[in-house]
This record gives sequence, C-alpha cells and structure tokens, in this order.
Amino acid sequence: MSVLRTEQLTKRFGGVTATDSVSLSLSEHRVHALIGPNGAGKTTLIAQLSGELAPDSGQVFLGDKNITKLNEPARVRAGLCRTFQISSLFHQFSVRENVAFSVQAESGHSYRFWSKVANNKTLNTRADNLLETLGLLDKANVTATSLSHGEQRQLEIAMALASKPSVLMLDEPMAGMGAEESSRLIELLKTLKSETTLLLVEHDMDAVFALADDLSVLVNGCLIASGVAAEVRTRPDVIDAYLGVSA
Amino acid sequence: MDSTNARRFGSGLVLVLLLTVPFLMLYLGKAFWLDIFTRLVILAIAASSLSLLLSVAGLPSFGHAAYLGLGAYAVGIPVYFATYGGADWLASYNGWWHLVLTISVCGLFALVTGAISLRTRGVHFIMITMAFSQMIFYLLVSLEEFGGDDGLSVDLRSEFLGLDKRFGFNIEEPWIFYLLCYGVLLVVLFIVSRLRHSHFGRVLAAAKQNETRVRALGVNPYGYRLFAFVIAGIIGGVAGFLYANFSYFVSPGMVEWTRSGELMFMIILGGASSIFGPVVGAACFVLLEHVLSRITLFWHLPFGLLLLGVVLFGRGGVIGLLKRERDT
Repeated sequence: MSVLRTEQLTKRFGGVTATDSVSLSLSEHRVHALIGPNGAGKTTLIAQLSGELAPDSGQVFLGDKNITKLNEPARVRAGLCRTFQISSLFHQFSVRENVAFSVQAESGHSYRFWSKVANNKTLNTRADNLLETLGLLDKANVTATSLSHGEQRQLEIAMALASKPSVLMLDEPMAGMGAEESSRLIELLKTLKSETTLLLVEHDMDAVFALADDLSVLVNGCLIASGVAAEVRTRPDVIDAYLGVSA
Repeated sequence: MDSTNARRFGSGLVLVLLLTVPFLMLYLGKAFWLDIFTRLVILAIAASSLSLLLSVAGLPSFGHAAYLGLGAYAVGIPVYFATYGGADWLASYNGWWHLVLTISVCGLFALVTGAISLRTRGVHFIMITMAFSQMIFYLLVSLEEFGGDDGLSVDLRSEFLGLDKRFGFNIEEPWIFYLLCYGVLLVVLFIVSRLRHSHFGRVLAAAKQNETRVRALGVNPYGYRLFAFVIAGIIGGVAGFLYANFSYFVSPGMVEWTRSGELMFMIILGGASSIFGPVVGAACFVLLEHVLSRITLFWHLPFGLLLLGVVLFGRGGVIGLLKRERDT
C-alpha cells in the first residue's frame, strides 16, 4: 500500500524544469532511495513533498489524503517529516533542548505560559530516550554547536524522529560522516523500518544498496526509473545515467 | 561565586537599589531624584515589554513607542473630558477605567498591526512596525481638540476608587506613585520571566534561531509571535498609562520614532541575555542622560558615542561587560 504518492508533480524555475511530471510512490515500512546526479532536482522534490515549495502542477497524497494544499507545519502534523541536507539545528539550545523542543512540537499546541518547560519530565524523558537511541545521551547538556559534524547529523535525525513521522524523508543523512558513523547510522535506519517509511536521498552508494528496498532514479527532473532496488540498479539506462560502468 | 548565584545577586542588587536609592535621596533632601527614578522605572517597564519581542522572539519591532502613546492618551482623553465636559461615556478620573481602555486599545492595535507586520521579515518588519507607530503619531498630532502636537495636560492622576479611601492609597503622593510603578515593574519582570521559560517562550526562542526547522517540526510560529506581540503591546501600554500619570502631560512626542529607538537602545545597552537587561539599560540611559546633561549642553554627543561604544565593543551590553570582567 502506498503511504506517500505524487501524481505528475512539476516545478519550473524560469526555463529550468526542476521537477518534470514526477509520479513517485512509497510503500509502507520500506526504505525507498532516491538517487540522481548533482542538480537532478532531488532536494527540490523533497521541498515539494515537505510543503516548503509549492509545485506548479500535480498532486501529493499522504495515504489517501490529498495534501497538496497543506502548508509545511500541517504536513508534519499529518505525519510527513524531513531532515535537512545541511544540519538545521537550534544552535543556542543544548542537545537535549533541541530534541525536547521537537517532542514539544509533536505533543500539541504550546500556548502554555506558566510552567517551566525545562522542568517538564515528559518532554525530557522522551528526549533522552531518543538521544540514547542515537547515541548522543552523554552529550545531552552541551550546546548543539559544540557537537562534531557527525553528531550534528545524528541530532538532526533524533529531532525528526521526535515528530513520530509515518513517512520520514532523509536528505543525505550520511553527508560528511566518517565510515564508522555511517555504518552505525545504517544499522539504526534499518531498525526504523518497522515503525516508519523512509525516503532516502543519498550519494553514498554503499549506504543506498545496504538500505534500499526500492530505488528511484532522478535525472534532470525526470524520474527515469522506479521500482524494486535489485531490479532498478541492473537496468542499463540507470547504469548509464548515474551509476557508471563499475556498478 | 558561580554564574547563577552571581546573576541572582546582581538582580537582587538592582531591585534593592531601585527601592532604596530614591528614598535615600528624598531623605537627603534631593526630591527630584524620585522623579528621575520614577521615569527610569516606567521606561524599564516599557523596555522589558519590548525585550519580549526583541530578545526572546528576535522580532526587531521599531514602533514600540506607539503603545506608550496609546496608553498615555487612554489616561489623557478621559481625564480631559471629565474636566471640561463632553463624551460622557468616556469621561472619567477612574484609574481602573483608564487601565481597561489602555489594555483594550493597545491589545487591539497590537493584534491588527501585528497580524500584518508579522507576515514580513527583517528590514521590512522594522519598517512596517515603524510605519504603524508613525500613523499613531500623525493621528495624535491631528487631534486638535486634544492639543495637537502641543499635547494635553492631565490635571489629576488616575483615581483608584476603593484603594484610595480604604488604604489611603493616593497616587498623587510622589513616593506612593513611585512604589506603584516599582510594583508594576516587579509584576512585569515576573510575567516576562515566566513567559520566557514556558513552552510558549521556547517556541519563540526556537523560531528566533531557526524558523525553517520550527516549521519542519510541525509548528507555525506565526500565532505564537502574534501572541507575544499583543502581550508586549499591552505591557507597553501600561507603561504609557503610568507615564501620563507621572508627568501630568501627554503629547505626540511620546510616539516619535526616536522614542522607539531609545527603547531598543536600552535593551542593547543593558544586554539582551538577561531579564534584568532592560532594567539595567533603562537605568544607564536615564542616569547618563541626567548626569551628562548637567555637565554639558551638548550632552547628546558623548551620549551617542558611549552607546556606539557599547554596541561595538560590549556585546551583551552592560551585563555582558560585567560578566566578562568576572570571568577573566
């Protein structure tokens, strides 16, 4: 069953068609990798799925619900959440506060003016659980800026998981990570499959092939192939366009 | 002394000084210091309300003086009608009525202008908030009946019926009026502090740092910012209400854009990181203005240079400077 689906999604910037009638479908509890050369329009596509950018034409469905007209916060509340290619954190907050705020965002409105949010046990406990999952618990009290690049990438994911998404879009989560950190993240992402559906944009082919159940290839805004990963990666046009002869 | 204790000590010291110094001066026969301190405390209230926008939410509202003016005229106009007749529904010396007017007028003005201004960002936000306050300025200038740009004398301070008679709480008495302002400042600081550390405050702080991420976590900061805008406007109005009672005079000059700038300066001068920053900033501003203007007629020049120095070299304001002194 498809949890996230686009129909003929199109976005133009002047003369450039960044997204060219893309029809993509994600199946539940699977990792769907989206690959393509630089400038293929992967991030633009993510931005339209997340609601940050409005498409010129086409539709986006989350489950049976047409979410094309919903703005970004509403889509997140409906269960569609994303991470950013460049870590997007709250730099003055501590690591725990970053995640606790993400939990707060998920747990309803914040028109609460009196009680001290820093002392809220429910938020802090859930934040600490997420930090433990990501292996960041021992850094909970330092500010987000003092984390290493790899740790910031992990915090980025912890924050997205706090939203309890039914579909999680990861925009190059491994970017700039060391080999060891990458393999730890791959193991974590595998365990997430049981709870959520993942859309993975990634350049690290080892990670893609280790994780992806399904694979879509985007070239110049066009989806040239989409299907079960093992089949798509052997298609000659895909090899030509992106993977190169060696793959 | 660790930093939390140092901060508590500093805050306590500020509050104790504000409570004791004017009375000490009064005892020493320098009664005009009570006036200076009253003005200081009222401006501290206004600056604290603006700090909710500027420091907590990161919204550089450049029109905060409008609320001071609206609050002041919410005292001036009813008192004018009560003294000279006309507009019976409005005319009154009753302070509670003035307060109701202040809160509703400022709340409504903040709601409407905030709803529009908060759709913009950065320089546009600064300009549009300033434009709205200029609208109030020219509106007040055009009110011929209330003195136009000459302003309007307030013949009597607001009466707090009930309190006056039962407890001898007569705010015509300067030191009682000072205590009233001081009490309001305490309440305002308490409210700002609670808001700052609440769920609501964390949304504002998060949206200040990274709005994109806040939206990507499913929260639209617009409503929270608008709420902060309204609260800040109402507290600013209360400062204006007190100012009219303090000076027995209201005029469009209170709404001039330079006044809004001064309030921003107080916050920068005091330091944005602490709740007491605006209080320290208002104190420095008022006291420096007083001291320098006694030394030279051209006091604006050294005053301006000093402000420039704090902005350029004293990041974190006066409180930041003190902190650095201690750390090294």
